[in-house]
Amino acid sequence: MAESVADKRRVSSRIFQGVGGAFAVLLLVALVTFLLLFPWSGVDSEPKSVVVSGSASAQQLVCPTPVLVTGADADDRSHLSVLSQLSLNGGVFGEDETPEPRVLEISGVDVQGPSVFEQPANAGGLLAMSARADLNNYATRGLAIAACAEPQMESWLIGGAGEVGASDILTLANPSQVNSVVSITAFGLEGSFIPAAARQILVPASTVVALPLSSLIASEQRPVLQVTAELAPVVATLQSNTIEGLTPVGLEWIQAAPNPAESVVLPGILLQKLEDSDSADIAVRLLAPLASGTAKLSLIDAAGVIVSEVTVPLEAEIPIDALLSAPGAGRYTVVVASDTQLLAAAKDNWHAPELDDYIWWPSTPALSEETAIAVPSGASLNLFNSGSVTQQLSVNGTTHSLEPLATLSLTGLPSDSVLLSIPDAGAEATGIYASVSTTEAGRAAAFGVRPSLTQQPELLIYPQ
Amino acid sequence: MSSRVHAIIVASAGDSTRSVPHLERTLSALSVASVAPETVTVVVPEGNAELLAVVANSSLPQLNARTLRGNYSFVDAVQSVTLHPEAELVWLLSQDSAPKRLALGHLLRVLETSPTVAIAAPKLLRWRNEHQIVSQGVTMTRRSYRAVDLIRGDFDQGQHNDREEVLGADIRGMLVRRTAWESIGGLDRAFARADLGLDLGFRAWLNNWRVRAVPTAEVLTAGDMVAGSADPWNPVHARREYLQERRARYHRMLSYSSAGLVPFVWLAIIPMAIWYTLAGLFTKRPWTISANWAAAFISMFAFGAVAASRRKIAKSQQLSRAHFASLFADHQQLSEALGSNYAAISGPVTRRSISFFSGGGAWVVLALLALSLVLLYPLLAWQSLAGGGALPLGESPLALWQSAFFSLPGAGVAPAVLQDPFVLVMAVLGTLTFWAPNTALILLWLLAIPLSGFGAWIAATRLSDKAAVRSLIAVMWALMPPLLTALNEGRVSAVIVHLLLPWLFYTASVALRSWASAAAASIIATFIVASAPSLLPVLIVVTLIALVFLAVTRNARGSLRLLWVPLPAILFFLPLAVSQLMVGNPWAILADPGPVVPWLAAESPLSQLWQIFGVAANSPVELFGLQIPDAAAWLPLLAFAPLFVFAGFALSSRRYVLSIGFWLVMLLGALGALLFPALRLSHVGADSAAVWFGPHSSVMVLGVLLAAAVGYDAWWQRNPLQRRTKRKLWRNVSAHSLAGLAVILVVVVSFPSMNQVLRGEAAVHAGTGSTLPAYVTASGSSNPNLGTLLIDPLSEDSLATSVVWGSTDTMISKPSKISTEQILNDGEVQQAHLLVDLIRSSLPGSVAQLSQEGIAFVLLRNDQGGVNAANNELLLSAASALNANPALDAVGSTERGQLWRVAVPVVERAPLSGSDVTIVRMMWLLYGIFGLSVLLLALPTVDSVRRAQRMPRQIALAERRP
Repeated sequence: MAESVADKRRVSSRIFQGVGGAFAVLLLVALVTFLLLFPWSGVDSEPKSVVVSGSASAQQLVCPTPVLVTGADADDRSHLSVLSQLSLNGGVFGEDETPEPRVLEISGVDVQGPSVFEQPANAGGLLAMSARADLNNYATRGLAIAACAEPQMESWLIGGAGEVGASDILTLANPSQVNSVVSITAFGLEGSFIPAAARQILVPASTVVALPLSSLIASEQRPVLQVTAELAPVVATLQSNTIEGLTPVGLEWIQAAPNPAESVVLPGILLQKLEDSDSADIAVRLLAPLASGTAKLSLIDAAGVIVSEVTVPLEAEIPIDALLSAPGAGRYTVVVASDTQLLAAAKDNWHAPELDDYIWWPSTPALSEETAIAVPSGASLNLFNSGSVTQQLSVNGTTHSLEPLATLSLTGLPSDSVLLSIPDAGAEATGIYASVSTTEAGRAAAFGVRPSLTQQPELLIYPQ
Repeated sequence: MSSRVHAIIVASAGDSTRSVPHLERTLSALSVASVAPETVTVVVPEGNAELLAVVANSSLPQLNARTLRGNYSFVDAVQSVTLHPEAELVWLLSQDSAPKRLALGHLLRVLETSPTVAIAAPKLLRWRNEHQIVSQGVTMTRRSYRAVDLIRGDFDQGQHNDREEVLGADIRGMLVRRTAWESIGGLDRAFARADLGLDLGFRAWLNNWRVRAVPTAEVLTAGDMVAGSADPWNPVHARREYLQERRARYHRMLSYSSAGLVPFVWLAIIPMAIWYTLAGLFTKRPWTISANWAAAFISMFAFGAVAASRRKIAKSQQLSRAHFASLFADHQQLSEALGSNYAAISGPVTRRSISFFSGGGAWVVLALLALSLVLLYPLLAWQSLAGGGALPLGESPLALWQSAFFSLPGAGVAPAVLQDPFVLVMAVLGTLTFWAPNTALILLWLLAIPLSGFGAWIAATRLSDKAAVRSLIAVMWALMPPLLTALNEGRVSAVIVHLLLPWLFYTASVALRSWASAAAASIIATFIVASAPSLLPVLIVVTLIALVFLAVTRNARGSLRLLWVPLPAILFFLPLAVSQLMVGNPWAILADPGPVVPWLAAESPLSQLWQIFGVAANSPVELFGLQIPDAAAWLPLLAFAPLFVFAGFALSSRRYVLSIGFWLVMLLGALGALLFPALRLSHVGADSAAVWFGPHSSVMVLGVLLAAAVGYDAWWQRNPLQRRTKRKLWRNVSAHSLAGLAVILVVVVSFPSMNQVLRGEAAVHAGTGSTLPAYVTASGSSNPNLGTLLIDPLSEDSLATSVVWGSTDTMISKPSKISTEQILNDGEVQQAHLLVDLIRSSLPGSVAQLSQEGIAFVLLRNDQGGVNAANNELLLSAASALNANPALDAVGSTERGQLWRVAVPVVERAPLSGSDVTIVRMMWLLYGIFGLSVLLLALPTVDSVRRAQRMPRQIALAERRP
């Protein structure tokens, strides 16, 4: 009797043991598997932050330095001399009088340097100025236009060349009242490097320092420059002009591109179809300064149709040129999307029977609200809508409808300041990009449009 | 002769299963006594038919019953009886005082032969064991009136029969001369039960009478708590008994002291109560605390009773106590009385030696120490730890203790912020190397592997007495990925948790049977939870499961001790929890304390699976730095398979209930490692940090190892009485082979993590003892009230800012309350605007304002380093503005960023406000008292060690026996 009770107890204990053990194991496996397959989304909290609005700031625009050339002095081949002064246009939108410019000195050159236009903070009105140079002489032949630009602490210049035939000149204009110290990092075939002559370049107050690019980066075919200023911001501009043999073939001002981003837009590129070619080609120079990745380039025609796409690998710090082909001449926009931050600019050769020129089409930042643009006489304003909804734009009060991915070119605009107004179209409108370009027989030039800075940008502060 | 004795027997309602048979036996003993009392009065509760029936059925002549209403005391009962007019002697008995046949005769003989003796007291023997003395005479200390049993608990071999004159005795069985009884005023009702006999004897001596113990007169007592002391072998009555004793003592102090001393004695009662509270904790009798305080307050305010007692003494006193000074307890008697408590701990010593040296534990720890020194030898030259989650501890432990509850992390009008309990862990750690607190972290890193092994070895002693099992657990625990990952990533909290978890198991597993273990477990649990608050829910759940299990198995004894284990941790977290709940941020209670290290959990299931085992990898390919193809990334998991085989086998062993518990711990750890990293609660700048999975992985791995230990122990059967069969040999060989394989596989899998510091791939690296440029330290900014404003440009339009006070950021300078906060206070908004002014304008106004808030330096950092396109422009423009500011002196570029010194006079930051200081003091007081109490409770005593030695070291042995 006692044994049977003990047996029963043993059996029930074994059953409990088996059930309990199996339950523990199954519970572990089942719950872990469930959570692995259907992970808990968890709890997200946002870091505390505050947006501090920028205060109204004075507008300060530095126009390009007059076209410079080296070798004009037989005694001193490295001596810089001014080939031509510039013609300026623009002003404060809505005001008849243009502010009186201040003129900077050019270090080592006894001629007047670039003009600096200033509009005090809270003075009202948006200031926009642009410059135009049209040369056809022994040293330089071509057309260049550029917007007068705000000085910056950091500028990225994409374009130019340091190889034989190129006589590009880098100008560093310091419009402030304190000296600036500039360092230049170059990106080339071997990656990034700081040229010996590019360390700690002193740019005195109210002065322009001009440096032949070849003295910084000899024999670089596809250079990209990062210009970093300390103590005071500068306007860095690369004056690009090329000589083939003894013939000058083109002139361009390469201005600072927007900071690297994963999406880059080059709006309003005008492509020319050569007679002996089936297509209109354009080379896009790309640089991923931080990390390697891939970039997808799309060529979009004026109607918003993607006519060509190419994907290229990017190696960190090494600029490459990617070729895009369009079926015919016309107005296009290049959109580059990448998994890494990059910079881009496109070089377009412009041919005529007697005259050749080239354009460096810059990438441009997205515009919003109101932007004043100084469109040189005869030039067109090219607007691109990168969003997925149609945008209603106003240019000097005239409303234009811009379809998604379409490019619109406006001509016949007044040569004083033009006001572009972009209403807020919600989250689906990702941005309006603009460039200004002009073409004449055998000559062409363009510049990108940047937003008017009447206020310091907002800052997002994370206190800890 | 016997006609002169009037016996009073007091019975109480109480437990009728005791009172009825006890009274029957007492009456029956009287009826067969050689000398019977002439009159016997039994006091019984009114309406108690059972007791009245006992009285009615007794064959004793001259027996009468006196009924009383309600709950009456022994004194009430005795005083209610009208003594027989001719009675010359009063014999005081209770229902459970059964005199032996010759008892009364011996007592009478003493009183007859010694006319100066007023009281003759018998020897009280145990009801069920007549050879054990319950009481034979009582005395007290001369100044503190502490009652001391002259003989208690000894086995009666007649060895104490020579003791005759005593100060007092247990009231039961006392034979009192009526003349003396009346002259000293009978019993004092202020003494409800305890020490009645002592008081009666003391007053008799003062009235020029003598008290004699009569060892030949023997009375059996059962400890029914009607009179005299309770049964010392019955712990159920311990608290009531203690209350009575303590009350009697305080009353004696107030009644026996000379009048001039009474106010001082009255004032001394509270300090005495505090002292006895501490003593109660130290002697592992926390249940005495409430009784002690109750006795103190009752006695302090029993003015009437004290006055009555003093009147009674004054009325009858004829002699000074100097006349019988020799009867007071001397030091030896007191020591013997205290020592007799230990004698109550009986039973054989069952615990074997831990065999740390002979069992291989020392060799394992030494081997792990050697391994640790090889793997981490670069640390020997490091000044402090840096990188990952490691920051300096500061320059002095004092600063750590000063920040124990509040810190002032912000500048300007930023309010004081509640600190994490983690600060206490850091303060204790820093105090260990008080001359250089940063050294403590270095030592922690160097010793983490051997100390983990040591802890695990000790923990394994709870599960097995086999050296191989203990060594296996020690080695595995020390080399498990959660520890190695924590060491590489600079996760101080996770390292501490990994070190302490085995000790928590070691102590908590026996918390049921020992207050010292429960208190030690609660301290360890507090340290663990303070280091990893996300383990608090795990701790609570484990405790609840254990309590439910105890309730189901009807083994509630010790539940209170088990419940105590998580209590200090909960109490230490209470202020922070309340504070977080008040701001509507309840999840933040679980946020990791200490420096915030941006980290987000892996998303792929395989990586998460690895996370459970303590390996941090965002992609399976990155695991251990090895190039493993995606498809085969799960293969290294097989390294843990032998452990799971053992853990699975444990479920089929005799200790399967324990094993199921370990599997549940495993489950909780795994769930914690999966769920808690989904809580992204802390922030540094714009980056978020999820709760670190490491502590949960450690819990999971602990569950696996403990279950594996049970499995290995069960698999490897070692019974010298059985013959070695082939099958058994194969079984043992397979057990050892599997254990060896488990070690090898885990070592292989852990190897890439082990040498990360050697390879320079670990996040942790050498520090300089400060997170600020050397110039700041050299400029005398060790003043903790001068700050350095840090500016970290994050992108072209965002930046992070913080203030470092003193010479360095430390492990505790950013409380989790700050890092989890989502809403800015006014001061922070004001600071943000000030900062924007500073980096955009060169006007000196913003610097002047900062200088008023204690900011002495401005450091512009570029932690992202290199050519960073995102933040470079903001960095440059900020530097430009700071350079142009005339109120700042540029110090220049340092290894930590560009530094400026504030060139205008700097005002030190405001200290804690008066109300904050008051709160801090209150918290120090409350937590100090509580912490001290827990510490006292945890400290081992001779008593607790003797008790522990009589219990087996291993747990669940009952399960283990067939």
